[in-house]
Amino acid sequence: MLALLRLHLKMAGGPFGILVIPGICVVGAALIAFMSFRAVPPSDYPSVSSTWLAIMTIGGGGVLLLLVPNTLASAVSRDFKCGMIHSHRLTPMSSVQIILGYLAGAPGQMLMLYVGTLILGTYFAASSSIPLTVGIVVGGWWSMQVCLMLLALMLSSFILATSIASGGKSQGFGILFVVALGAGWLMVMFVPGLALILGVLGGQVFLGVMRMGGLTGNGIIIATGALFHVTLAILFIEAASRRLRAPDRPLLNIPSSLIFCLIWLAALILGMHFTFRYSLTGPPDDSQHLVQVIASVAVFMLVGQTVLVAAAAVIAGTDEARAIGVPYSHNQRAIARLMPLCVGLMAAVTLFTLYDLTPPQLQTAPFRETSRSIWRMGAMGLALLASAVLDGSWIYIARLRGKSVVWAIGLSTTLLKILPLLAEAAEAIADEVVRGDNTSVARTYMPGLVAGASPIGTMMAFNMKDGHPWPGLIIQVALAIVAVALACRVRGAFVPASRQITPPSASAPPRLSA
Amino acid sequence: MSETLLTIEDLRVQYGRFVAVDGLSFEMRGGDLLGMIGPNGAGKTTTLRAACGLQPITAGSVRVMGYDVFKHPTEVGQHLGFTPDEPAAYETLTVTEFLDFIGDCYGLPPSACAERIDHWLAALWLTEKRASKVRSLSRGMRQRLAVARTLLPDPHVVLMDEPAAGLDPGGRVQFRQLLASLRDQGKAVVVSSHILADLAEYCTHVLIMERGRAIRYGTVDQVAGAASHEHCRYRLVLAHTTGDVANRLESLDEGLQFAVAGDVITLEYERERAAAADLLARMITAGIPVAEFRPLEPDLEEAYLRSGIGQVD
Repeated sequence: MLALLRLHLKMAGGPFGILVIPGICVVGAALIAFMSFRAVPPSDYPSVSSTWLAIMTIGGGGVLLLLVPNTLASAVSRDFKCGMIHSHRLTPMSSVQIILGYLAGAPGQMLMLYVGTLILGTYFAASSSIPLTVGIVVGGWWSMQVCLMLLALMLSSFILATSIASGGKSQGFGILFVVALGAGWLMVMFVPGLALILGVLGGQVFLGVMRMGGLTGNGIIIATGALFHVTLAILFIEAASRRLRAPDRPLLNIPSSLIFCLIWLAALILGMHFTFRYSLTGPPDDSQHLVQVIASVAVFMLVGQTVLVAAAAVIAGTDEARAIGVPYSHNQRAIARLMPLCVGLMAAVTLFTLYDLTPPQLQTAPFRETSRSIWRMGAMGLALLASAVLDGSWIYIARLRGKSVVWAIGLSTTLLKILPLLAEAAEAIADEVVRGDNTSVARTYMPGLVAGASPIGTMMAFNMKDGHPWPGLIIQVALAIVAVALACRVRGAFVPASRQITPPSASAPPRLSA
Repeated sequence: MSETLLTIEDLRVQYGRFVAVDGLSFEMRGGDLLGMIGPNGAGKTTTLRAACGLQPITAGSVRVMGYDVFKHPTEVGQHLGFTPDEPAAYETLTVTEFLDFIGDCYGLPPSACAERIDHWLAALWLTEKRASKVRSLSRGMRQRLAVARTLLPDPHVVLMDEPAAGLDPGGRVQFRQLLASLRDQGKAVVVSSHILADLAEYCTHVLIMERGRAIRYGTVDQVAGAASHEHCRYRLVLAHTTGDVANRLESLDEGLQFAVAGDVITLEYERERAAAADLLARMITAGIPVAEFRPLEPDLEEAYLRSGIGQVD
């Protein structure tokens, strides 16, 4: 780890080089700040400090959340291109040491720049007029910075892991990352749990400071979010380390992906809990709440794909082993085959818990009816289970046929999860148009009839007045059965029963040195 | 007898359904120098990458000093060095800075590292380039730097993928001496190369690969000897050039393989002396002006050509 740290220090021009650019930036900012103080009467100093505090906060946040992860991605990309990543793998350094070396060394110059904003910000925070209810103003500033640092650690670990998994092909990744982060923050009103994962807290604390005293009651949320960030950072570092030495394996193996799902499950549930208790996303009405419940479960289903990918890799690996006649772990295979059921059950648990958390004032009549009917709840659980089995089989088929797993997930999500919803929306609009025309072909729109073919649609239909989720549910179960049958068929073609296996040793040359 | 340093057992590597290496097994002890030969795509590079843990394997095992390369990579890292066909280095560092970094990765104390750097820079004719940036080095210089990087930590097992590619003739001579000295130091060295004459000079063992399989394996003498078990190459010198010598040779034996270069003919025929004498008699009867007729010593080139691969890339 220290070797890589020293290397990056050297490549940045040594101690002088690593300090000079951040130093120039900080001194420049300090000079401009000094001139702005000189331009106003002393009575306005606190307000000028507040402005500079905001600038330092945005600047520091930008460096931590955008520049640091992108520097890491660039370093990994450079090392893949020049082949040095393989050179690192050949040394006695452990994978974790290599990953930590990148994490601490590559963004050294950026971290120095951030330290500069931290020093200046601390000065401005001490001289600012913003009153905070939590501790003194410097304490508030520092608590916000700790949040930002933990968030940056998680994001940097994530970027590092994905850069290593993609073989350093991270061009344009920064832009994608910014878009995803921005979209994630926008999605918080629909999925409150995202606030705890994507680090909206950093922004919220910042806004709280700007709004004067916005930290009230957020202590538990900050602590929970920080805990999630640290846990995820450790998970990503571990995943990156493993992937470094096993480039043929998925980024997350079965245990890691299960932990990843459990973290999301907890975040989605806690996010909803905090929404009611601390108004995390503002006071929701009953329809917004229903969207939050369904969107949260949909997000979990998406996260659950990581488990399915890991399981498909294990099953395909054992198939391969069986095809060439080498021993493999039957237990591992059996566990992997259970994973779609596990994901489906976890999704159902998420759904049922979110139902359970819903306060009475947000429960509509269909919502109440569904929550009290074991059949309706069971049917929604079955839809989630069928969806997981279908996805698991689909990913397995893609893997066995050598297709891109990401492409397979995108296709199944679009065709089987989103398209039925869009088709039903189109049907509803068409029905509205026809009825508006008052023609004889007017018919009654049947909510959920088409959308029910998607698990999201099934959940929606069970909570709509006069919803018709059952036909769609039957289609989903049928699709899951077909997918399992197809997977068996593809596997049969891969491992023909009649194939003659020649033990490799039979054709091996003699050992001459013996 | 020295201990086994490298063991490859039933190695199989697949890329999807394509089998790159299939059922390869061998072991090496200290002082063994194995030359790997084969056309492009034979699986040489894949084997070397798998042997050092860079290439995931489908089946089999690779052990260095008893450690499985995939289960104990850090322990293996202490004992194994690998020079890839494309030399890897940080372009913005100088030669010494780069080797310093490598020493740091292996936990070498700074003073010992500096000594070793001086030694290898001198041994590989890089001393003059010690302060040059890596990006300013030629292909051959980079190749030498890659070799220095491999040997700096003093590994027991050394794997080199076409290390002589890009070296000038002087560099090749020097490189042959270097490999021989590594062999004599008791290291296990594996070298993949297309230069068969070089391999014959310094290798103790040879492995000929095609389509992921080992088709010949043994000591240099065994492999070269096995190739000429039944057949032999003969050198025929004519007293004077004859235009229709090819037709006359073909009329003697339809299956006779030969190559005519001026007044020198190289042909393949049965090794047995009586058969060779019979052929010679028939050639003289056919009016071929034979001035010299002698069998050629078996060599690696011949072994390679006889292995059925047919060409050297």
